[in-house]
Amino acid sequence: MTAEKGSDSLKEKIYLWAKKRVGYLLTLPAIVSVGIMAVGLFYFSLISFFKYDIIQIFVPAFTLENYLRVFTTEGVVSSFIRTFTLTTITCILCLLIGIPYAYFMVRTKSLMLKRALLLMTLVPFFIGEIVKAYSWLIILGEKGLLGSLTQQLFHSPISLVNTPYAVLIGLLHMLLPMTILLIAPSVTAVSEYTEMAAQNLGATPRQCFFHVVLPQLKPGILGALIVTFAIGATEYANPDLLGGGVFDFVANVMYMMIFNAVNYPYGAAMGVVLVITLSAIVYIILRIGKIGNIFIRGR
Amino acid sequence: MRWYTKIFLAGVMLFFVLPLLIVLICSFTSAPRVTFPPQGFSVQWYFTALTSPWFQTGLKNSLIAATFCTILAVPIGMLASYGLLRYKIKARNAIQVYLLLPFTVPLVVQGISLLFIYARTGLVGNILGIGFALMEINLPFMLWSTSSAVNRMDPNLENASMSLGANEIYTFVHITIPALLPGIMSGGLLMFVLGLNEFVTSLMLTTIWSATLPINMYTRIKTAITPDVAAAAAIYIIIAVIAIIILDKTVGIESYLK
Repeated sequence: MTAEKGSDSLKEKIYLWAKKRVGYLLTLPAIVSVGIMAVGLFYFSLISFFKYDIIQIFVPAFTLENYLRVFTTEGVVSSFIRTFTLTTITCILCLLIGIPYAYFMVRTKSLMLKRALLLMTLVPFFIGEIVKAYSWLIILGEKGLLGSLTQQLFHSPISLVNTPYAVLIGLLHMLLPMTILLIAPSVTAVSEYTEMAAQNLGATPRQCFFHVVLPQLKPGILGALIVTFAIGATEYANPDLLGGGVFDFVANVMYMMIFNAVNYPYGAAMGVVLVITLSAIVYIILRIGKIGNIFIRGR
Repeated sequence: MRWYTKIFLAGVMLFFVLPLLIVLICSFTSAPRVTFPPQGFSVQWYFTALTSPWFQTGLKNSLIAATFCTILAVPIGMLASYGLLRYKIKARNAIQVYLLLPFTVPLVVQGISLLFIYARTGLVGNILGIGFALMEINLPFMLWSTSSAVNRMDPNLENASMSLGANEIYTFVHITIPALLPGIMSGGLLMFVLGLNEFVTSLMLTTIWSATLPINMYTRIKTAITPDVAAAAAIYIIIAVIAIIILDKTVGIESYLK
């Protein structure tokens, strides 16, 4: 009798133990998947402290020389400045265009317009960066749309390929659909009644938008900002194809250092500096916004 | 709606689809290089693309990798967002920030990080290895889709099932998963299409024999100017449109607004 009761309570204990941790157990496969990359990332950052060797590629002797070179090489520093400046401009444009677009898309009474706006956003979202960059090459190139238009207007074709403008346009085309899709759910979450109440109390539509709607969109906007900034600042294909090697981002310089120059430690140091800078920016955005939930939709 | 609002919305929509329309138009050119406006009309570049080895092996590799990526991503993403949102987890915010690592770590860095692991385990150039990498780097997108479905699901459904005597596993399989199906569908479809399109990480993990279609396209863009690349790009655009139609017929694209 007592023994049976004992085994029962043991079973119950195991059950309760597992039940308490079901949440963690369910998350475990995702944690392990990202963990495999994280282990590689740890190894990657370890190499950044190793010494470069022409024959062995790197020797495990601690040095800070690679980091010193990152901060003192003009080309590398300018690639960091270029990357973060252009990404900041793109993200600001994304929010300036994306917030009103998402707002009208959710709020419009016309189902046709709503679906059209959503459809046009989803199409570029479902297409990869190579195809998109290639499309912009055709549009902005000398033999493309812009070239043939300017040829007819000014009798000399203009090409934007291999300029910062092309990279900016390419980035905007990539990040704007994401911004809109990340902000739209938080517009839906704003109750229309609060807007009506504000307007009943005499607020103009403009006042209503800036003082009633916008503050409630904060989590969606900051989530979108984090994701687009992180993706933009680490972009490789866009600056490579549309910047044509004259407007390289950090990722491009790093790739060359690792795969062309085969200087793993130096490339790794650049990567670590990029990851730390980005993490700091994400942390600051989270702190300023005082939001805990990012990207996990619906709350 | 004011006139300037209309112009603004029309302008953004045009910006989104104009480049894709131009590629579609240019892919039907009969000239040996891409120009706009295109010269003549022919479908010869589709023939050239579909019969060339770079397209065929690239597409085959991309399809295998994207399929494997989706098979992995669906259960992993669904379980993770269910666990994160439906159970009391103390470290929830920390885990969320951690699961966002695939977005905050540069893809080039993630590619090299995985390359180190793959080099030790002999997975470099393995197509399933690329499939895993595609899943890992895009996992936040899967979580984004499924977490919204978990949040929209009424917990009373599960409570009712369990108070009627079903155990947790039965309830999860017969009540929870069907309720989460819209999120699983849209997330899985997104993972598949993003997997087909992925470039940077694959570039580092593939060899010549396992190169995926975007890599072969990139090489073609860099070396040749023939319109067969435009035909391949047009095929990608058609795939995207088909994916969106499937999404609309099954889940409804409006689910992206919630």
